[in-house]
Formats: sequence, structure tokens, C-alpha cells
Amino acid sequence: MRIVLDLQACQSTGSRHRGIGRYSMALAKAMLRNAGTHDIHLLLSNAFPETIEPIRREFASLVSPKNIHVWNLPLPVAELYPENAWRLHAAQIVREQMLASLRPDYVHITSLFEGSGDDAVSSIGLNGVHIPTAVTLYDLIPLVYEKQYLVDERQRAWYYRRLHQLKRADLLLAISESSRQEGIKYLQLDPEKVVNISSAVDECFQLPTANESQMAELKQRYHLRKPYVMYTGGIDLRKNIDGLIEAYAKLPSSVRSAHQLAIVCSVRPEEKDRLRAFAKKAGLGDTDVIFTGFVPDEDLPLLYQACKLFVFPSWHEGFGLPALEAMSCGVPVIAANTSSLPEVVGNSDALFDPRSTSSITDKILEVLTHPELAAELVEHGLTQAKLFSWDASAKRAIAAMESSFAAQTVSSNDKSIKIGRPKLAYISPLPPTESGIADYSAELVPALDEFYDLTLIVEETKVSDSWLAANMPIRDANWFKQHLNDFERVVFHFGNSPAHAYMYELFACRPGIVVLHDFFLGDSLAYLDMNGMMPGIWTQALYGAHGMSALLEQKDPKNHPHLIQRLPCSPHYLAKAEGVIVHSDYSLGLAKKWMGASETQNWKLVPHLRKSPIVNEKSQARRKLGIADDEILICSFGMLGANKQNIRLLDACLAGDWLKQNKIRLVFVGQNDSGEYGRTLTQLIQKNDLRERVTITGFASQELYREYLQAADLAVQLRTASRGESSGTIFDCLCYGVPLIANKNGSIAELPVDVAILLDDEFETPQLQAAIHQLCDQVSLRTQLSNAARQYMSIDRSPRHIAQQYQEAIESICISEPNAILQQSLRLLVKHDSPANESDWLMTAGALASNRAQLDSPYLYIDVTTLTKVDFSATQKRAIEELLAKFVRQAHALRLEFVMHTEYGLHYARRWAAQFFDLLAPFGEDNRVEFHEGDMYFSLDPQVSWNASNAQGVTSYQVENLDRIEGDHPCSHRSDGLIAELNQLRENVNALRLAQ
Amino acid sequence: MNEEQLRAQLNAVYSSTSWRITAPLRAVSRLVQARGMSRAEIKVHLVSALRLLAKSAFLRRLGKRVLSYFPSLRNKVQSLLLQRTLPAPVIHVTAEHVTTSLLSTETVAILKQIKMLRKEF
Repeated sequence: MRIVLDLQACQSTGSRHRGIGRYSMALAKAMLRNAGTHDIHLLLSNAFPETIEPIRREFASLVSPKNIHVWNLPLPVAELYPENAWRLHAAQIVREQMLASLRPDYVHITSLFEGSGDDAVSSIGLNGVHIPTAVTLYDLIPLVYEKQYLVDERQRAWYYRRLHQLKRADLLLAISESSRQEGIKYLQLDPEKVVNISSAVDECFQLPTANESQMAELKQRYHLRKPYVMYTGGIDLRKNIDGLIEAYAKLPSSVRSAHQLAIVCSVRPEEKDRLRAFAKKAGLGDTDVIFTGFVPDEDLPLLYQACKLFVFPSWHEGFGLPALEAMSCGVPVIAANTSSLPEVVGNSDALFDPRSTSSITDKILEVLTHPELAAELVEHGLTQAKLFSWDASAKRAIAAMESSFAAQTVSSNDKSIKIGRPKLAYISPLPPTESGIADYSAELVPALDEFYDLTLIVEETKVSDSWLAANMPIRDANWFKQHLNDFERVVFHFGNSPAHAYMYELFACRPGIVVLHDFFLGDSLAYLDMNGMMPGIWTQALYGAHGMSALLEQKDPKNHPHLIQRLPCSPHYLAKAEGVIVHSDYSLGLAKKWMGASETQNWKLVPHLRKSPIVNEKSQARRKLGIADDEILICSFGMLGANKQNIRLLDACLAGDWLKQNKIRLVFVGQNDSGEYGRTLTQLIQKNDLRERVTITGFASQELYREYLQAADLAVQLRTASRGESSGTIFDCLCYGVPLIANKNGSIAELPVDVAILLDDEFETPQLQAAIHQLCDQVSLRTQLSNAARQYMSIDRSPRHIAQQYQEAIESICISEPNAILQQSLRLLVKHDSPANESDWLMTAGALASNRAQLDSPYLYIDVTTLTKVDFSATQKRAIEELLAKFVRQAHALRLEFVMHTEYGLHYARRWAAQFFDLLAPFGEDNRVEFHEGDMYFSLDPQVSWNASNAQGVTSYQVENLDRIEGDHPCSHRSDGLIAELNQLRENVNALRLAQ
Repeated sequence: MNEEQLRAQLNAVYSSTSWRITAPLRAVSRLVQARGMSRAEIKVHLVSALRLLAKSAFLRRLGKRVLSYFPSLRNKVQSLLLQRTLPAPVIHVTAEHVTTSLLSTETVAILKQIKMLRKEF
């Protein structure tokens, strides 16, 4: 499991120095020590920036820095101030968004009762996404003693709101059996969801190690001249200090005069005065009761060790840590017989009734006057203390999360999600637009209608498909922009054709789920860019997906065809999409190669669909086309061209005069290639005098295309250099039941083996020839293939079946993908009714942007401030330009960006770069740099560096400063030669820069 | 509503630790929203300024080229120039211009999505 520990309890001003903060810190450390195979991450809030470095240090040896995540939030958010209401809500959403981006299996919130007066933030599932969550349950004392603790109305409201969040947790980790029972009793929690993980003491509480003189010095410092009875803990009504003082005063004077009572804790002056007066009234002198005031951490174990008896008279505890600390120090301990103390002390001889003064007095007297009882208590205490350890608590906590997680996995598999029909904006070209995707959508939409309330968003609202036009709301892009709020789901169909141009701007307004039909989008983007329909779009996508090196290549128009062919550009959009759906493993493989495994791990695969056609009599079609019944008709469907290998098919048929000897007709159904390839094919047909037997139809209307599909005896569909696009013609062949021969190019390899004869991708012509002959000869094989293909298409690829897979993919994306959850969160924020001003929005948007977990490789920022300020001579500039360009090209595997200092901090130097490198077009603005964990920085000016730890707004991130030197060695631990290369680059640039 | 002041104010957002200081922020938002001047008034000024600029052929060419890289801004400017009677949607042209350069790319993208959801276009 990936477990995220929210450590705000160790950060908040309310808890960090108190029991809850210490408990959370100790438990977290123990959980890391006992993590086993679990991947544990720590989450820290940047609302308490001063705590981040100390906490990083505390955990340095236990967890990789990569597993510590710091998140930003809009501030201030303390809940007791009503003016913070919107920001608090936003901060809760922002935190849940951060959590979602970490993709945890379980979250542990170390304390929910934070944030009334400080900026701690926690909530569970406010954004509608369920992440299994455990919460530590310390106690419910304010609820149990409501009249004392929840007097203030706002405080009470805050507490009850926190209780409401608590009840949403999947698991409560109670610090004692008593607090577990409290949860079950007062909050009606399901007993199975509350687990006692207990508590433990710090290692410093142990048997005495200090020598006599140290002890004597300590006692003297605290004015302890006689053997003393000790209490430590807070000063609070339930702690029953009054009862203790009163009971102590009632001891026989002989015993009392031989002892002192030490109240060890920080105490406010007015409280001290009150207690002094109370002690005096009970008959105790100033030296009989010692109020130590605040005691440093290192003195506390010594004070325990030196006392004669430790008394803990509290009415109500969550655990009662001081009792266990004293037991660990080997001193006799007596405690109240209420709440958690009996289970902590574990010895009925050591208990008294805290509400009865005489019961306390008697027990104190008994221990002080019976050394053998005292010795027994010490021994029992030491044995009992061994039962408690942080490792044991951590193991229980982890085990509880494991079983809760397992139970949830089982139950979520069982229950089918009932979600009604969410409103879905379906953005795709539709007929009459001439595009395979338009036809595809026309087939999918009627089936998808069962699962979603669809609105179709198209460029032109005139749709020729009768079913769609009659049944579906069809709207244009402008309408959609006005109605973004109406849609819970947004699905874009992306393809490599200008028919998709209208989507790109919509996608920037509302990045939705992308159904990716083509992984390579360069052709259409370049087309839109260069003909002025969408100037700059290709440049921006090249930069976004492939960085500076692509822009340097783009400078020379000669490179364009190659660039379009080689660089997919789609990652620029896909990285922002809510989720991505592809049609084949082949496309997934391409995505992995270009975007990395982690970025694409949650992409969904939904195979291509095809509606089963209404097939008429074969003979009828053949008569229309003039094909005799005893002829064998071989077809090759689709536009002709080199990538369809048409000539190889002809070669295979030509060999050995086979075509002429048999009654074979070969028809290429489609437009011939208009270039060299097409001419070669035509010449070949003429040269062999095959015009009777081999024909090219030219552009085939839908009607003609269908006639041939019905008439054909077999089809041969060959491809080469596929870039992941789906072949519509192959699916047409299969669903018309045309026996098919195809090579395993791209996604075709994923077809089941029994539906077609599949050749190797790089087949030999004789193989193809053999397959054709076999199919021509064996009617039974043709029938068998035809039936298998038809069955496969009508079941596995039926629109109904595929639509269901779409629904599963879309719904899974909506509950698990960070980008999808972000869109839901934004809608929630916009709908929230408390007032927000522009700055709140700015802070919230800034926090959401900076909290995105870095998935892809880190960036290398090269600081070129020194180059932006000077006018170079033409030769100088050219030389420097060449150096930098060379470096960019060599380092193309790294994401490299040029940045510069401005009076507002570190910004991109995009405008400078566009000018300096004479790029084809500007590629963006000089935005502020948003750092992420693990990014790198290097300044080209040896005089000017930039200190990540001093810089504004990035204190929390670990940015690796590659140009910082400590002593003779760079601070960085990189060993891949990058630093050497960068230093070389800097030297060379500087030599040129300073040359006259 | 001096642009330099606006920049300075926004900058304060980033130089304060964790954006703790909210006073300058509130000031920014006051500026951004330009209270005290009605939105219709701002718009009238904006439109007359744009029309004046559009009269110069050179500026028009320059503007076209610049705007071609910012389609949403371009649409806004075009619609402003075409409009005769003005309805009153919220327009933050100045704010957009300033924030896009002072904020991070990622923040700008999210702000744009928020603006679309709030129908501020």
C-alpha cells in the first residue's frame, strides 16, 4: 500500500509542542521503521513553513526526501474567524487535491482536532472522492464534559464540525481501549472500525542512570529537600489536582512532615496563586507543596526517577502517558480507577477512586508506609511498561489499515456503481464531416446514450446522421463555453485531422477526458498553424511536448516534414487531460515510450467498435458490379499509397501467371496515390496487360464501398509504418464477414488469431502469396473465417459492449485521476456560496498549480540573465547561440528551460529565447517559474546564483542547485557528468561573452 | 489603476512567506475589480481606447500579430470592437495582461478554467 501520513499535528501551533504532536511524531517514526513493503509518504503543510526543515531533519534517516511532500494553501484559514470561511473551504479542497495527486491507498490523519485558531486544515472526502482514511482518536473529553469544555458557541460549532469529519473516517486508531469504547459509545462508531493501537513512552524514560551528585543538584534546583510524591500533567479541572492536594493534606502529620508534594508542570501565575491558596486552606505550608513550573525535557525523567511515589488522580484520560512514563522509570505509581488508567497501570492494587479524597489519601499512605508494596508496584510497573512500545503501536496501526484496505477492495469489487446518467459533453466531429472519427462517433453515441445524458459539441451544428439529428442536443463550441458548469463529464475525441481544430481552445478552458484516435497530431497541428487558422498552435505543442530542442529544429522549414513525422505533439495535451482512453495496446506502447510509464499507467484501453451492417445477398452485389459467380474477387480497401503496400499485393498475385490462369479479379477499392507510387502501380498493371483482371476504382462512394464489401471473396489489407491509428477498413472487412489477410502492423497484431490470417508485420512476399492461394482454394476456410469474424465483431466490438467499457473507463477516471478530481473541485469552489475575492482565487489557483505532484522527469533551469542584458556583436551572438543550441540538442532527454531573474523573481526567458535563437514563432510568455520537487538549477553567470532556500515561495521544495560549490566540491551528488558539461558550457559561454 | 502599482502589489503576494500577507492581496483585488468605477464604465473606456488604436494601420497589424498568439484575448478584443450596445459581462483585460506574466504558466491555466466556470468572459 501507499500510505500518506498527514503530519499537521506535528506542525500546528496548537499541537506541535504538546502530547498530540509528540504522539504523532513518535508513531510516524515507528510506522516508517515498520513499513515493510509499504510505501510511506509524509505530507506537510506550508502554512507552518518554520516547521518543515526541522521535520525533514527528524525524518532524514527514516524516509527518502522524495517521499516528503509539502503543499501550499490559501491563507489564513483558522476556522474560528468567520471571514476565513471561503478560504478554509478552498484549502480543504486544495488539500484533498494534493492527496489525490499522490494516489494513496490509505491516508492517516494524525489529528483531526486542529485548526480552530491556527491554519491546520483537514477534511475527508469533501470533493466527493473517497480515499480510505484513518484518524488517530485521542479522546472525546470535550464531548463527554460538554458543559465545561464547549462553552463558547463558535468553539462548540467547530468541535461538532470536526466530529462530523471524524465520523467519515474509514478507520479510527484509538490510543487506548478506553478511548476506543468512548468512540463507540459517544459517536456510535462501528466497533470494527475502531482499533486500539495504544501508546508508548519515549526511550528517555528508563531506570536511573544519573549519579548521586547530579540528582542532588536537580533536587536542589527544584527545592525538593525531602522524599517527594510527584504529579505531572496539565492543569485542568479533570486532572483533579485540587483533589490530590486535599488528599495529601489529610495524610497523618508524621508521614506528611517527612515528604513533599511536587506538582511538575508549567502553570500560569494566577493558577499558581489559586492552587497555593487552596493548599494553604487545606493546611499545607509553602515547602509542603512545590510547584516546579515549566521543566525542560531532559529534567523530566530525572524527576520521575527521584520521586518516592507518582500519583495520577485524573478523572478522565485518553491514555495517561505520565503514569506509563513513571512506571518505565522504576518508581511506584498509583492512579485513578477511571477511563484508560486501569489498562495502562494494569494492577488493581495501584488504583483508587479519584472522586473520594479518603480513597486517594489511603492509597498514598499505604504505599509510603509499606516499602514491600512500593517494591511490588515498581516491579509490576516495569513488567507492565514492556507491553507498550511504539513499534507495537505502529504495527497495529499498519495492520489495521491493511485489513481495512483489503475489506474495501473486496466490497468495491462487489458493488456495481450506480450513478444514474451523468451529463456528458461529447466533443467530436460528426457526419457529414469526412472523418473516420465522425463515423465512429455516429456509431458510438446511440449506445453511449444508455449510460449518459449526452450533449454533442460540434463545429457545425448541421449533422447529417438522422438518428443523431433527431435525438441528441447538438451544440457548438460557443454554446459549450457558456455552459461548462452544466457538465459532470467532458469527453474529447482527438484525431490527426483539422476537423478537430475547434476542440483545442475548448480543451484549454475545460481539459476533459481524451479519447485518442491518433497518437501523432503533428500533421493537423502544423496544417492549422501554417495556413493561419490557428497561428502558433504547432509551435506551442512542439514546445510543450518536446521542449526547446524541437523548436531549434523547427527553425528550418526543410525539417518540417520530418518533424511532423517524428514528433507526436500529443503529450502537450495529454499531460493535462483528465484521463486518456486509447484503442489499442500499440498506442499505449507509443505513449509509454514518449511520456513515460508513470504518466501513462492509468490510461484506459477501449477497443475500436463497429456496428454490424445489414448485409444483402452477395450475388446481388456481384451482379451490380459485374462479377461472375465463378470468379474469385480479391479486394484491397482504402486509399492507395506506399504505406498500404499495394504493389507488394500485386507482386504476390502476379507471380507465376496465377492471376491469368485462374478466374481471379483483383480490385483496389479507393483513390489511387497521386504521386510516384500510384504511377508505378498503374504502369505495372498496364505492362502486364492486366486491365481486365486488376482495377483501381478511384474515389469510392460509401455505396460503392459497401457493394464491394458484400461482393468480395477475400480482402488483403497491408500496412506499414503505422503510428497507432486504427484501421477502419479492417473492421469493415471483419464485420461484413470478408475473409481477411492482413499483416500485424501496429494494433492489428492485437486481433484474435482465429478471425483473420495474420502475417508477420515484415512478411515475405511468398508468405503473402501462399496465404492468398490457400484462401482462394479452400472455400471451407473462407466460410470459417467469415463466421468467426462476424461473431467477433457483433459481440466483442458491438457498440453496446464498447459503450459499457467506455462507461467503466470514464467513471474510473473520474474517481481516481488527479486531473479529473481537480475539475470537480473547481466546480465545487465556484458553486460555494460564501464570498471570495479575487485574491482568494489567486491564492487558491496558485496553490493548486504548485501542489501538483511531479510525475515526469525533473526540469533543468538554465539561468541566462547574463545573456539577456547585453547587446552582443553579430559574431559573438552567433557563437554563443551555437554553443547553447548544441547543448540543448545534446541534452534533449532532459527537460531544459532558459530562465532569468526579474525584479519579481525567477521567470522564463521565452521571449528572449525566441529572439536570440531566431525561432520561427514566439512560444509563450515569460511566466514565473513554478518549481517542483527535484528540479535543477544552473546559472551561466558564475557571479550570480540563485539560492533555492532563500527564494520566495519555494522554501519548501528541494531544488537541486547544480552551480553551488561547497569547499571544492559541488553540492550536488549527481554523477552522470551533467555538472561537468554544464560547467564546460558556462566556461565557453563566458569566454565568448567577455571577448572583445 | 497604475500598472506598475498593480505589479508591485501582485509581487507582494509572492514575496510574503506562504502568501500570508493578505492586506496587499485585498488591495490587489480591489484594483483588479476596479470598484468605484462601474463595469460598464470600464468597458466604455476600453472600447474607445481599442477603437482609437485600431485606426492606426501599423498598430492594427502589430496587434493582430500579437493577438494571434492569444486567441481568447483576440476574441475578446474582436468582440469588443464589433459590439455596438454593450451588455455587462465581467472583463479583466488589464488583470489578465498583468497576471499572465507574473504568475506561473500552471496558475494561469487554472485561473483561466476558473474564469470560464465563473462565466467571466
